Amino acid sequence: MSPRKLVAASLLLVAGCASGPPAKLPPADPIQALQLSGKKVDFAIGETKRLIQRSRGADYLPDLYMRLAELYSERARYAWLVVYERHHQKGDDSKAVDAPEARLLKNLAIGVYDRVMKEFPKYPRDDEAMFLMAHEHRELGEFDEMRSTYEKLIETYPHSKHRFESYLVLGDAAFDKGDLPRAERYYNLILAAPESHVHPLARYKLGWVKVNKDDCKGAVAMFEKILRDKSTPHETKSLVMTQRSLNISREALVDLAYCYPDVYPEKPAPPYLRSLAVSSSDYIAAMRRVANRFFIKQMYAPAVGALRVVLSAGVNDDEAIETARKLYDNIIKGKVLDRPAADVDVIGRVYEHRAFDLRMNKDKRDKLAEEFEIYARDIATRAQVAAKESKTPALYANAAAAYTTYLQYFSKSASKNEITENRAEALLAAGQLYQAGKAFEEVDAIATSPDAKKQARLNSIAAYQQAIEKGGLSRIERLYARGGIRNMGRLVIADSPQDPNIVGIKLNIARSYYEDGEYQRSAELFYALARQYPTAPEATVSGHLALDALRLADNLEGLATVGRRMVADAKLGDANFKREISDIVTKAEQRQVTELTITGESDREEQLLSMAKRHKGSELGEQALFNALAVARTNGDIDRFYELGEAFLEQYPKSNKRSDVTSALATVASDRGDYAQAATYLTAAFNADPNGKEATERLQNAAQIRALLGDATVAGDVKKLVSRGSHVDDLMMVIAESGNLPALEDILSSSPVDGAVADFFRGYFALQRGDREDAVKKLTEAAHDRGGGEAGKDASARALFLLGEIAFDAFNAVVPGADIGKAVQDKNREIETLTQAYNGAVRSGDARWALAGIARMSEAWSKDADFLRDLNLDALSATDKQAVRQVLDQQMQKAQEESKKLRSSCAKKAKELLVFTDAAKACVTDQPFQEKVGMFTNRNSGRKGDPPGAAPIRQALLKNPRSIDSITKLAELYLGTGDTGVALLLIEHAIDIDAKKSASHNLRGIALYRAGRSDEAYAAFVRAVELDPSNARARLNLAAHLALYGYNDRAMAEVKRAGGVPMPHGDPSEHPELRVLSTLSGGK
Amino acid sequence: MRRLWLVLLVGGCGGSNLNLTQDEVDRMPYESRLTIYDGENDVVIARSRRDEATRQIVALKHESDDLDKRLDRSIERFKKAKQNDRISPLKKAISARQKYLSAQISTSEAAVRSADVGIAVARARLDAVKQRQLARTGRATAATIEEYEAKVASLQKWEKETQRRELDIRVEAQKVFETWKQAEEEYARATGDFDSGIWID
Repeated sequence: MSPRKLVAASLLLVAGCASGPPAKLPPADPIQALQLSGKKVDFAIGETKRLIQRSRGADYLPDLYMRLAELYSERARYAWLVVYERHHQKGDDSKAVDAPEARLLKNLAIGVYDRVMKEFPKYPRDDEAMFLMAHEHRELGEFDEMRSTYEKLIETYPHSKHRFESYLVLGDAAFDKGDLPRAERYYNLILAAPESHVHPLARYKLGWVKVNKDDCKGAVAMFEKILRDKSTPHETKSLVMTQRSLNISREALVDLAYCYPDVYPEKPAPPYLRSLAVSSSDYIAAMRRVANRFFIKQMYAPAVGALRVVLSAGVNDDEAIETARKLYDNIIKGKVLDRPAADVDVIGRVYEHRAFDLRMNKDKRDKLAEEFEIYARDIATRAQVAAKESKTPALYANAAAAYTTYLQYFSKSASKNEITENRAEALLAAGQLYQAGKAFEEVDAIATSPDAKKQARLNSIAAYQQAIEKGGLSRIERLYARGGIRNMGRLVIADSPQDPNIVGIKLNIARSYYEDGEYQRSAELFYALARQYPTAPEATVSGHLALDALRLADNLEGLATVGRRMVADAKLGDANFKREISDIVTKAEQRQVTELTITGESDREEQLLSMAKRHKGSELGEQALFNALAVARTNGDIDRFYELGEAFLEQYPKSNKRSDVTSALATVASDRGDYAQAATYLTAAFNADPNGKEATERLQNAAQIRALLGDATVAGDVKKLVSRGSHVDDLMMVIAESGNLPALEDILSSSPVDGAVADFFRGYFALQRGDREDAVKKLTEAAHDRGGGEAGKDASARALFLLGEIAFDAFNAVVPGADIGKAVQDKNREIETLTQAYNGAVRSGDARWALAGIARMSEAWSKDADFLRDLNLDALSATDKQAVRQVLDQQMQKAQEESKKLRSSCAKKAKELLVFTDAAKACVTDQPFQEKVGMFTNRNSGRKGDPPGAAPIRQALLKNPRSIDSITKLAELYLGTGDTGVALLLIEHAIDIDAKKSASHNLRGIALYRAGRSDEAYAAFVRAVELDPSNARARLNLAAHLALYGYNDRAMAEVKRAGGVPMPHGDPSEHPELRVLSTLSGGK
Repeated sequence: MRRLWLVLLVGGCGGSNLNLTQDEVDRMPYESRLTIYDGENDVVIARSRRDEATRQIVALKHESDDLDKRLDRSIERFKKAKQNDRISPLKKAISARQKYLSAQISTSEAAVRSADVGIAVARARLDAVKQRQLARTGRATAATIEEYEAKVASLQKWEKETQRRELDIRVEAQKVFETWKQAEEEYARATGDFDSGIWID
């Protein structure tokens, strides 16, 4: 065979081995096996006999006989078993079979035992031989022989180990004969002896004796002792060598159960028996027994308890069906309906284990299903009846649970619909509302009649709604319940739109969306309900809920729209409802505006504007626009702010927010240096709320700005201020200093303003128009009125000086006439008057007017000297002429000296006090004093609009209103155009922002100089130099200013400190008279 | 096309080369770090707004589809109940509602556009913030900040414009709501049916 063929053959062989079915063993024949075993014993018997023959005289010969007897006994057992099996195979299960061979063999065994005892009387196992011989007699039914043999054993061998067993067998024999006292005596003989292996059995037997003597308590005590005795064997074991094996503890437990109902009728069996049981099977066996005993004694409740335990241990054992039946019987008979669900469940489980058990035929299975379905249904239904009788929710809950369990096992039952319905009702009655809602949904699904369906749906909705209202549901349950309300509700609405419950159902559906957080949808439904049933009580509630839902959805626009629609719906709600809705809408809109305003969103301004646009003309639109304005300002979007502010003022001319808007606009206008505009807004703010807390202040600010700007409309502001009792002295001074005298005249002519300043100006204007008398009167009043603050003092000083000027005019008016003496006398009188008047100014404390007065007096004395010198004396005689000339010359000399003295004093005081007026300059420079003193010398060239280049600077200021550079640049531009008013306001603003900036003070000095306020200009230059000593420009400006007024030494000192004289560039921050320094320097 | 441009722009803004390492950020003063974190937070917020608007669109489209199905069911029910005269009026009412939903979708789309620009602004602002911090630490010149701030300003202007457009669309949508409600009322008046399209189907 080639290797390839060999491999193939091997494979075939292997394949053949692997694939063939295993050979079936022939069915075992027990008889054959027994016969075979018997033959083996026969063989042993033959061999033993041979050994006996060969062992004559040997010591072990009695052992061989003992063995032979045992073999006969064993062989007899096989012989009996063969006969028994034959009977059994024929269907006869009785153990009372006649086996002659066995009897023969047992007799042989008895003979051998007898021989052993006779031939070997000293054989140590003689007692055993006797014991076994007695046993064989027993087996053969020779009870008398048996008894006598056992008794002989006890008598002959009182210490034999088999004596207890003998007592036991004797006791059993007496027991079997009904001789209970005799049996009890034998058992007690054992128990009286020290503890042995048969004691538990003796007790057990004694227990049964007591049972038979109706002493259950004693029997239980015996059985309990066996069970509690630790020496009791717990396994199946032969306690007597000739008897069958026995599990004594199990037997004791089970038999204890027999007496249990009598001994412990009130005590629950399960815990007691469980405590005694060694294994669960023992326990269950005992419970089974005790259940039977309870049932027999018609104690159904404990019987049910025991059967529940038995069934809970296993529903698939052979006895489970019967146990379940018993359980049902006991439940029904005892009306034990405390755990119907568990009982239905266990019955269902017993059935379930057989439902697909192919070992049972289908017919049997179907019958079982039918039977057990009835049991389960009956229990559940009875539980519901019991609940109805007691009206206890807990019992309803039990019934519902039983129905639930029933439906789990018998879902295809014909009673399913009825049970489903019962279950739903039971759940509802039990207060298990959520479950009831679900159950009624199931009823709806299976119900066939429309009425039943409708009722189930209504019940479901009601149950779900109550469950939600009651609370305690989990999140998923709540969601499910709401979904159920919606589903059931839709079906009811679709099928019965006219049902009287529909309104409530719709309300519940809408609420379910609301509670689910679907606010938009719920709002739609609430509103739909309110529209459809406007007169129903639910309508107004629904209307409110619609708005609330929209509020929660953060849909304030929608809220307003729906709210307005509801208010417009004539049928819906009463006046009160409409008022409430209107109020809600209004508040919501206001809230929306507020929320939009405070939100951090970048588009809040746009949103507010959009809202303002949509609600233009309404209060909401006004608020939205106002807030947009505020947002624009907060964002620094000033252009937008202006634009919106103007739009606001235009759209809402009567708004009570006008004053706030205009005030804010004014502030912003001021910030960007647009003072005329600021004044306009301030006036508008005042007009918008003239009685407001800040109204007067706003008007004062407007007037202040206009006064500085030389605006004629300031007169109106001042008149209003006067009418409100405000002090306007300072304002009038500013107006006058800005050169706006017509406005001042207007104010004084049509306003009841009084005080030193007003009197001064009235005198001043009277003097201007040549009304000397009125001028003197008013100026005198002003001069003597020392009140009114700084402005009042200033006015008084000015009035005193003007009175001097009037006297000076009178002095000048004296001209020489024909009467020289009178002329001189008049002149002297006038100069005396003049001196008196100017001395008033000198004493006023105001250096400017004091020096002016001194200068004027000096001039008057000088003029008086000229007058005296120039007097024509030609009309006098020569003698008189000489004498008069001499007198006049003396007077002239005195006048000249007086003039010189006064001028010297003026110059000295000017240098001392550094006064920057024309009078002081005249004194210092020894120049003639001007004929007419300009009281208000403003050089403001007036407003000419924005100077070129101002627009971009303003734009920059819009972005950064506190930019000093921008403000200063703008101020310089205004200075360039001569608009000192705006320039000064700008510079003051710059100094407000940063008071320590030298350049600002320098520029202020220039502006003040240009405004004719040289004294203040000097102070500004000094401050600029103080703040920054290295500021050469400020120092040179200071020098120029000093030089201009004749303080040359000081000026030179400053020039020296500045490092020399610069070339003038015409820069706005340069002193206009800077060139004076060149002259000064050249002069040196 | 406009959308594409927008996407490109937003994408371009995202590709900033201002990548400060965590170590660099950690070394910065507290205030600087806070500023950067604020900027990053703004970007996240802007993205969230976009996500919210997108989610809203999806929900509205779903609602619109659902409405079509509900109409079909209503029609089927009417046919079964031999109430064919209700079909046409209901279609009108549903159509009005569809228009409202459509307007809502347009509003949300506008919100998405607005949010896109918002994201661009937030990113530009973050870049500017980072650049400022770089300048503070000497890694960039102060002059370079201006370019970033100009970009922020430019985008902010554009953002305002898109926001304004979005609000206009929103206002229009609210008007459509009125039309829808009127259509519902007309349907109920004509048929006596207050339920179809609202409570059932």
